[in-house]
Amino acid sequence: MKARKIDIAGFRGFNERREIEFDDTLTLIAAHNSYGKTSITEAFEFLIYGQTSKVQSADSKDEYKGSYRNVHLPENENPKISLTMSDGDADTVYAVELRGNDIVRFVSGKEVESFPFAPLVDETVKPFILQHALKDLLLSTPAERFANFAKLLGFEALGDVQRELIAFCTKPNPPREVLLLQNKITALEDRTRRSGLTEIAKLMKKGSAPEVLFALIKKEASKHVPRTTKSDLLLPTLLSVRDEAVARIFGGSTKIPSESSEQALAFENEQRRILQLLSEEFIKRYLGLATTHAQQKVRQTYELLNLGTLSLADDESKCPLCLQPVDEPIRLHIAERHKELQAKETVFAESQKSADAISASLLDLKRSLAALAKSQTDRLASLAQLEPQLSNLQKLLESEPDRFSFVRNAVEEFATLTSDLEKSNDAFNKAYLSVTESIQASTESSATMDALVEAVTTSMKKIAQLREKANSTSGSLQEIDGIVRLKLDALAGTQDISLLVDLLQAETEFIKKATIDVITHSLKDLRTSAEQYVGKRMSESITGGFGTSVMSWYDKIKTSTDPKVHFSGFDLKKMPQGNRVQIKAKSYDKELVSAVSSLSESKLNALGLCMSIAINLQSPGPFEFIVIDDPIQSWDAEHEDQFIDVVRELIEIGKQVIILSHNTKWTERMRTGCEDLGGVYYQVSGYDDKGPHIQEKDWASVKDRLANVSGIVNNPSADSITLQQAEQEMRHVFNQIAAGLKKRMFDTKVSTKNLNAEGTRKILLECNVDLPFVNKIMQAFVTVDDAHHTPEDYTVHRQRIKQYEEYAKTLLDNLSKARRVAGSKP
Amino acid sequence: MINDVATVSQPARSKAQIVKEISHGITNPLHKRLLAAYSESNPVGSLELELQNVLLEVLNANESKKD
Repeated sequence: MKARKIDIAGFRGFNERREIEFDDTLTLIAAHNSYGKTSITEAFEFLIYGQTSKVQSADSKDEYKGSYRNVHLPENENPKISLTMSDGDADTVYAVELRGNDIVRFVSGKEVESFPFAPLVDETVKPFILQHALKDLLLSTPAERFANFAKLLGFEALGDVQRELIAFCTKPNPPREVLLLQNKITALEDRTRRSGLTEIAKLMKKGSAPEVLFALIKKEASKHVPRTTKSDLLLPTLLSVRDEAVARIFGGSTKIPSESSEQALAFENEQRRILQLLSEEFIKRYLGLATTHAQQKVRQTYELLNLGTLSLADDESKCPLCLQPVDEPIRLHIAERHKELQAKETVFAESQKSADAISASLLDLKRSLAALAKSQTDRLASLAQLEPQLSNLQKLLESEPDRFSFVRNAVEEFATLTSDLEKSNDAFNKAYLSVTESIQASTESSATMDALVEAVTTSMKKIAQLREKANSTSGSLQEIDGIVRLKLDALAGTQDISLLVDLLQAETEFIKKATIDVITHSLKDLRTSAEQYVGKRMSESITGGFGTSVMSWYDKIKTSTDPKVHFSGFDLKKMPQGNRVQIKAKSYDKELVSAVSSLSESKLNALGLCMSIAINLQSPGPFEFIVIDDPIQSWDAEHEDQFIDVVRELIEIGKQVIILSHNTKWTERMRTGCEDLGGVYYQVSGYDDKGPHIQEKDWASVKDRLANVSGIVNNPSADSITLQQAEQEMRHVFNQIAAGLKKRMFDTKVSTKNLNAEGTRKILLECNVDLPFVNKIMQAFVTVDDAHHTPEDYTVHRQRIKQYEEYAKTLLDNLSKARRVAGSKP
Repeated sequence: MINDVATVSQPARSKAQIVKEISHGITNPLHKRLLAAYSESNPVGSLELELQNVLLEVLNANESKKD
């Protein structure tokens, strides 16, 4: 797509709406610094990408907050940009409006979510060459340059992948559980290194596989147990050997098993369940049993009556006991009474079931409470047995009196807590007995149940205290146990056996660690794969076609008088931190350290421009235009002129070039250098709070063109090609004068770039130029038709061109006298 | 000049595309798994989490074996 026109209002340096039309090939905008040049480029960027590269690359986005909106724009208006683009067939207007922080997009006036070209622009290089971006690239640190190059080449993700994967693979972040395992194994390896088990230590140092390492450990361990010991009994036998040896000195242990998270959860769940057994419902059911027992007598009467009723069944006429006659009223009375008691008996049976359920719950309560208490007292078993051996322990810990005091205090505290727990258990057993007896004796009461509830609560509290104490001291006690063990091993000469026990116990953990090590070490391979891929892709780009292309453009800018100190290509260097892009340079064929440190600013500027041009041509995307923002920086005139040739070549390749420059002298030479190409030229003559004052100027003035023509026709040595150029200049002159007449008489702007013979003829007639004179002027166009085909009989003729000069002077006279036609817009 | 330009290979632009291409070039299934995580919306976070999952799987698998 080519850019036709841009409208900017309220954006960056633009307050009031400004419209800039673009030539199909070359548009030149000359403006002093701070006259709004960059705002034009930014308007393009903002419309296409939704943000400017300046904001995108800013360290602090806050600094740019609200900077898109022109500060003088009235509050009730929004910044708007619209860009008319042509795909060759039709023009489409793409517009954005900034509403607060929201960007609203329109295509030909219709609001859209995104522009149709959006997916393409995300994957291609931006059609802009920006000075600040080039400086960022060239003057970045070597470490940052890869990422900046990748960004410029459209490989932004490549730079990210390199940085992120290298960081991840170089320093992986394992979970806490893995770190604990690694620390444990490292500590065992340290112990082994300091021990007499030198062969095992060697294997560890070599990083031997666990199966090799443990074969040796087991072989070593088997030396300390009877020969007949089976392999699966090696560890327990070794443990016994060690325990027996040290028991002669000290048979105790200060170790309390620590509570795992699963055990903690099980304990807390059981606590809750026990308390739930003594629910309000349970107590109500217990107290309800008293009513049931009142029915016991009913049951006895019922059973007796039942027996009598059954006996009567044999002979209803007499009593089965005394054999006296039974009359009808008595028989009916017995039957009714039996029925009544039978109903009561049913209720009683239900109550009996309830009593059984309560008894079962009470038994469950008793057993559960006992089990919960045992779970904690069992943890303290070793400590409970330690009391008689405290004096021995004191000797062992002679050099560690604080640690001994800690153990002694723990033993005493645990003894007190255990004793308290036993007392509370006794109280519970008594209360439990009272409750069960009350059920049997039908003497249920609130007081009995209250005593049970209190006893259970107290026991639970004591168990919890014991657990809390065990948990808070187990770490220190385990540490002390380790110290005691070391001292005992030293005294008993069992250091190696003890270490072998610890190693054998940790066999599974060694295997786990080895697997984990394989995984973490393999990340180096992943890093290598990523680096190779990234390096290959980048290398292909910078040393292949891209490098050649940059060099080719660079050669066009350099001059024959330049010292031979130049950019000489790109290279990729592998560093520990990843791939780095090197920009190479040579001084008279001798390699320099780096182009960045060796080349002058002007050459670096040229290099940056050439890189941008090469990249844009490599991946053009949906846009045929390229916006070059202030390309001429610190160059001498010779290099500046070389760059004019570069622009010409870009146009010849098919690019629509839009150049913004502060260098008015260069833009003048640019127009001269591209006089044959033509173009649109704008001059920003001033700037105020309304924005830049933009004026369209002729590519070359009629006066200059006529002077040029005059110079050619009066030069006797001018060849036919030069004379043809003069004839072409005359056609430009007629077009420009026609456009001038149209503007003056009808206040209508006509682009001379788009004028041809027919268009010029039409305007001249419209502007009241005599038809015979118009026909004479049209002869200048006959020599070359619209398709640029020269008629067969055409020969360039000096005299004819001189005649055209005279026509032009007459037309200029018409132009100076022309007045606005009534009715035309003011 | 135009010919020079035409020989320049087109880069893989998106991170997902780059990761896919790196993944094609490797055989280690664990690395493939990590790269798949890296393709997710929070690449670095997902990558680190996936490695932690892998390592914990090793720990737990061995625990089960031991049990």
